[in-house]
Amino acid sequence: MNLKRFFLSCSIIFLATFSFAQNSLQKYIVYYTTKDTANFNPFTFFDKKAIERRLINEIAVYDYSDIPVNQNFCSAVKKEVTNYRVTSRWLNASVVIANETQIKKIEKFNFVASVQKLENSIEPAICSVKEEPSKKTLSEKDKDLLHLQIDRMQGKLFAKNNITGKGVRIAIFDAGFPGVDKIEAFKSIRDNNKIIDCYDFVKNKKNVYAYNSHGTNTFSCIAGVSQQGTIGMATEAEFLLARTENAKTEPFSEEENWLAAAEWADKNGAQIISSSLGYTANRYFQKDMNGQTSLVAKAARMAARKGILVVNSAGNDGDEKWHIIGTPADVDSVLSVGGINPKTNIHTSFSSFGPIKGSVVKPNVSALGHVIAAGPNGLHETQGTSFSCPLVSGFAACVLQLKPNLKAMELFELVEKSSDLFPYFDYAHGYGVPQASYFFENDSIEKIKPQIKIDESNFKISVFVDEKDIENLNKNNNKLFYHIQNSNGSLHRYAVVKVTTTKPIEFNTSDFEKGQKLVIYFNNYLYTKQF
Amino acid sequence: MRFYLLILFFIANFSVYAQEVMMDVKMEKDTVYSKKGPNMKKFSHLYMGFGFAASGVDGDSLTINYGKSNDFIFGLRHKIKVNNFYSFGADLFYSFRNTNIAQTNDKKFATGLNHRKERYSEKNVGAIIYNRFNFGKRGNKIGKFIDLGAYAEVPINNALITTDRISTPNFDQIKVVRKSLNFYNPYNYGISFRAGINQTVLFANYRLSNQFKSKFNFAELPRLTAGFQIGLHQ
Repeated sequence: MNLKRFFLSCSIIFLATFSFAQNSLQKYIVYYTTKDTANFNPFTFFDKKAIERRLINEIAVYDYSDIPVNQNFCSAVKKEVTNYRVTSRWLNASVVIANETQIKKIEKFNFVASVQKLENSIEPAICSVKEEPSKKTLSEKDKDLLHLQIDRMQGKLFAKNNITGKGVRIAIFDAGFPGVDKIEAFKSIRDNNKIIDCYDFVKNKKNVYAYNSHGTNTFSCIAGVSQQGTIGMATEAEFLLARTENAKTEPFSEEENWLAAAEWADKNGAQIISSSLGYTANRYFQKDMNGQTSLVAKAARMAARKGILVVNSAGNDGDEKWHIIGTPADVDSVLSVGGINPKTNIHTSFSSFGPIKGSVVKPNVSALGHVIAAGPNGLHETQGTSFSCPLVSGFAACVLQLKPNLKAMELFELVEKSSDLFPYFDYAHGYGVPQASYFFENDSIEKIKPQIKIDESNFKISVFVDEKDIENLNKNNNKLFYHIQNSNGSLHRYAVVKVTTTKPIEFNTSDFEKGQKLVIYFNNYLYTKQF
Repeated sequence: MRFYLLILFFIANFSVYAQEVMMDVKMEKDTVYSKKGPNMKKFSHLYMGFGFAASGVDGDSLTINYGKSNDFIFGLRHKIKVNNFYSFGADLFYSFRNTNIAQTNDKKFATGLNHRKERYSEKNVGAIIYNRFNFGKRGNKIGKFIDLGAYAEVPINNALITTDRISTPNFDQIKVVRKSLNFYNPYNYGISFRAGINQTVLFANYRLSNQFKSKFNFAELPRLTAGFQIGLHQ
């Protein structure tokens, strides 16, 4: 009797489960076959700045991917599905939530080219680690940090030369911007009508001044101003604010929102996208971090092709099992930003590591990962590569103001070249922290160049620093970086050594394989030894 | 010992530092990708859980104090992934179950007498075999799932603990622990249902077997137990 009941129960639950799986709602991308190309006028469709950007980047004013999706297709699909999410002109597709029966019907439409299943994630994708409570007044230590987050990139040089990102349009993708419409840090932005547009892609409405304050924090690291000093460098840039992430309240990350926001930013003339979001283990395997697999990677790649500099945080998994950068920071044409610890002045432990497949250098550059940011309740200390990213976005906006005719990838390369370790790199720091002095030859901040002596004898390479130079070293210039590069350009090993004594740093030449290269970097001095 | 091995490693390896090494990363190929984890071919992890007796569906149930009747579980779960949708596996578990029996007039259990408190305590070891149905593509995570399985358990230790008031000069209550009980069956079995997201799991177990030997004509303990489990893994 009991066994009968057992098998009956098993069968019922199995069938119910299977049926549920078959008929449960899933997210799909529905790709269409054609577009209505006849009536498209790019000059009425795009913002003037979007046209300008295309001309500067020497790309066509429009191509097939820019033409909007045929609205009749969208309407027909909309009627069949449970929830219509977004429309993508770049992909000529719609993202919908539907069950299997609905999707089978849609597949039969003659204007549907294909249907692909998309998936939800179950955790927010924002890249901040730890947020301290807001403070009415900053302590001296906090003030030092506030100044350091700008000074570490020589941001005052930009300010001194009246370079504030003026005229540059930055789109910020985040989880909400509460307080941006009220708080002091953005008063100048509001007074000067620098917020060009905003859109909540999660709720499909205009208001973004609510929800998670992560966006407020990141925005402040681009353009915030406090009584104690500027929080970011691009205080006079123009902004497009997009809420793409649900964050904690409704924890379903939506890559398609990122795609829709990127298209919106493109249409509205964004020159830089600053995205402190990343998708990792909840949805992907490490091998998927190749800049090709994720939807958000495809969207970021497309945005770069449209002449937008996409700046994305590397991620905060450096000390987690995942360890490597997330997507879309994995795209080769996305400027991925790692975090620096202000105490040690090198990579901060949580900042995710590169490279991506093919040994492409990631992160590309770094900035402080521990910052003072503005939130709805005031200033506070916070951590995460989420904040390194907007610092670099602000920096890039200043460079673009200085050199308005730069193409997006030229800007990308200049930001890399301006970094303090360049041409040295590793998979923790990229090329280091961008430096404003690179763009002001006459204003270059004097750099101490200690003599480093290399002795190549007795099957050893010994690196010495003179005693008199040791005395001039401090935490900002006492780090010796070295890496060992394989013949294919990938790194075999990299390290940072704090130089505190005159004792040599030694390498046994017998330990190197043929074709490997030892590269040592110490305060602008670059030593290379090919084996 | 480890410390000395580490020193030896540094001496024998690439460089001998006289300075402070702040970071030293050795790459293997491009980067090291994890080959282990919750969404790989095989995955094992420990878990612990807490459940409550939640019966009432059976007419033969003994009346119990529900909030005070609980089940602590500690186990090892092994999963073999067949594809993104289906996995199967087995658990080995230890459970410590307390059933707090209500003292009603029609109580059909043990002595049949009413006590101030009466508790049937049972320690079991057991196993579950289960089918897992995952929903949604995921990375190296357990993800969202439903498990359907069957379990069997063997009581390794049980006791009936009763507490009564007495009037003596030195004591005002007496607690009696009865062991070597002869009225329970040597094993139990039932079906198990779980639904979870990553480490967080809700479970319900339904016992199909009778816990007590029929010749004693006892009312059965609640057949349904429901609660939560936490997977002890990343």
